[in-house]
Amino acid sequence: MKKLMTVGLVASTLLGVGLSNAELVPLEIELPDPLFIGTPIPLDGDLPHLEQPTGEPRPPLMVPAGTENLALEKPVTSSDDWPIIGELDYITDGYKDGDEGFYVELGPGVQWVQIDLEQEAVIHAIVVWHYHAAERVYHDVIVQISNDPEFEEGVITVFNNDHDNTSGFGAGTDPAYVETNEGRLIDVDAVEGRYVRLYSRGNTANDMNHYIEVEVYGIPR
Amino acid sequence: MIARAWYAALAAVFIAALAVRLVALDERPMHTDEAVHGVGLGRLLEGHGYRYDPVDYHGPTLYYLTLPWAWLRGERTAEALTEFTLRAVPAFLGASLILLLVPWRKVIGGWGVLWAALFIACSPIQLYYHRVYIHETLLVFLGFALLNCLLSWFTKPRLWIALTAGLLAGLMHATKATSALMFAAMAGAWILCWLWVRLRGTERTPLAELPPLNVSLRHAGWAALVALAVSALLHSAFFTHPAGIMDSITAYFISPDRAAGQGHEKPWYTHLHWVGGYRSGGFLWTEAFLLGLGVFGLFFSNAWKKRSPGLPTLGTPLLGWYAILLMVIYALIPYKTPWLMLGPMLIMTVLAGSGAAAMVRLAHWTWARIGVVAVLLLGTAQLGAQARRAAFRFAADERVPYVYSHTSPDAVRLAARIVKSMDWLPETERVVQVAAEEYWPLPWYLRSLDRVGYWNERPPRLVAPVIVLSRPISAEARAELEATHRSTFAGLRPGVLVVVWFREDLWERIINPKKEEE
Repeated sequence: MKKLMTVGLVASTLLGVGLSNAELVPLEIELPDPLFIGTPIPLDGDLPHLEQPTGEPRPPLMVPAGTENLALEKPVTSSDDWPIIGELDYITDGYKDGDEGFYVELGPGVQWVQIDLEQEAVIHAIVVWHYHAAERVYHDVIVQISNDPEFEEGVITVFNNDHDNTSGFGAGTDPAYVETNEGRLIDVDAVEGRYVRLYSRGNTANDMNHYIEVEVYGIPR
Repeated sequence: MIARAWYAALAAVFIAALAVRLVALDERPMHTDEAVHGVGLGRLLEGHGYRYDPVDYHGPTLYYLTLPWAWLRGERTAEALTEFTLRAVPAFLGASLILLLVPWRKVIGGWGVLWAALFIACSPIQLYYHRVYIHETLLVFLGFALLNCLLSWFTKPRLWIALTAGLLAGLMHATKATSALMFAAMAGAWILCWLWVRLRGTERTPLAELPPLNVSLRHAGWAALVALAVSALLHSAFFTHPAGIMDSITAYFISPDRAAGQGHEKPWYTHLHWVGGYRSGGFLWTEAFLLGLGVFGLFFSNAWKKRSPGLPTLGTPLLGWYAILLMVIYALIPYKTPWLMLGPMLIMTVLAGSGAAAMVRLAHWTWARIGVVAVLLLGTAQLGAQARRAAFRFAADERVPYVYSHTSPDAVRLAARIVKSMDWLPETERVVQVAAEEYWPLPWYLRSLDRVGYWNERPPRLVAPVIVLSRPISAEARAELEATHRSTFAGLRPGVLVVVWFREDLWERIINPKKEEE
């Protein structure tokens, strides 16, 4: 498994070097309307592991020209086959509104959703909207990429904010964050893979796991 | 209907209602108010007594009622107390509302009572709050029992009924100061019924059946005396704290301030919105079925007939006016919480029983009757499905209208982690500091620890191995704590996060659980 990961990383690096010469353009992400205004109150540096919304638009992420959302209308599977509310295909249907009817709700505890891009791709960014109708923080957001649909081999973790290792994938160093209409933009360093899996473990308001939309930006191989 | 079969049917509904109220009582996190009452009862259990505080607390009836039950269960300390012990009390009282329907058989009929019993068992607001350790269920139970007494007294005036009414009124006052609003609504409802009878010119007016004025005044006087004595006895903690008696009066000078909102201000129609039709996060919560049937029951009661057969038929309009007046009073007061609707909705549910029976009665043909019964059962099933979702799976989910500023499961996990981390320390080091503007329900969950300090602002020194801080206090103390502690965060309830600082050695054990097991 280690060998496979090393090969994957070397390939990614080489590809990254190749791409470094490619033209970089700002990634354009269409944002839904905000649903809560005024909260939270930004408190500079109050929580070492929690990133506060700045209230300012997010700086653009530069990606190679030709990068597109490869997740749109792609099949989604999950650890919870019977969502409490909504359908799994909401996650890649392109609608990001925070209102009811736009999100899928998975059961309590650690749950995952997995998107099959249906082809290998070089991934440069992932954007995830869990739920932005109220101020809350989702626990243990972990995002992985792999060519193995079972996520047993060649797994690359591109985001992990489980800083106290409650989900058991190892302690992560990425910050937790308050959900807003901007979603969470994860800068991925040209990682190759066909499947993207996202974990979470409830949130600060309740035990449920929600997804409105996941966008996976990359270039098909 | 044969009396024995009727009682058996009512008993069956009562048993089913009680069972569903008692199951999995300990699964929902403790609401802040429940935690406050739980800790208060714990102090009483441990012999610290009771002191009525009119500023932030209600009366002592709930505590005194729970005390013998806790003893019976062998729980003699705050630590030994369980969520089940606390919540079983309102659960039993809530289910017992069904038994209090018995006298109303004369008013809404045998079938009306059975339908009402079924509706009480299945109503989402009733089921939800009957499983919550707050004063409202007790208050509503006592209020309905008082209505029973009034109905009985007006039917057959007896001194013992008046004395029982006094006892109930005293207990209500010692439960919650808002009982005064219920007394006002009851008095208003009776006056409106009296005026209505006078204006209609019914031949046999209920007034004609009232006892002589001197008897009425004598009974009222005794009832008032008993009410005052009971209230004084409980507010003074059995005369060990006489100041509590005066405080129970001064509470009404504080209550206007509370009624003005204190952060719970909402538009006048909010209560109707919550129970009538509340759409949130993919769910629609509605008890419109009961409200509609209740209105139907009100208009199709026997009391509207020109020749009123007597006082018992006045029961329906009495209930109707009481519910309407109570809803109007609560609508006029800016302070609104969903549990305030428990009382008016109970009355509407009883009227809905009357409405359901009237509907079946009005359907003359057999097939029409079968159809009406089927529709009523479907409506009941829809209520039951909502009640099940609200009381169990989504019991702490803010999308349910009855889940009001509720503790999140995060807080329970946080407390469990703190308690567990104390096991890793020598006895002398087991200290927790909590400094936050809002820290409830942590005192309930940390009650097994002997040395936990609580502050509403930053204490002079932050030195404990585990420190829980509000976000602003944590921001202030961050530089100081980062040298020795590591932090995580948890949601106490929606919109309220706290930061928990664990000393480095504890943190290492938390993030390396396997090492811990070895």
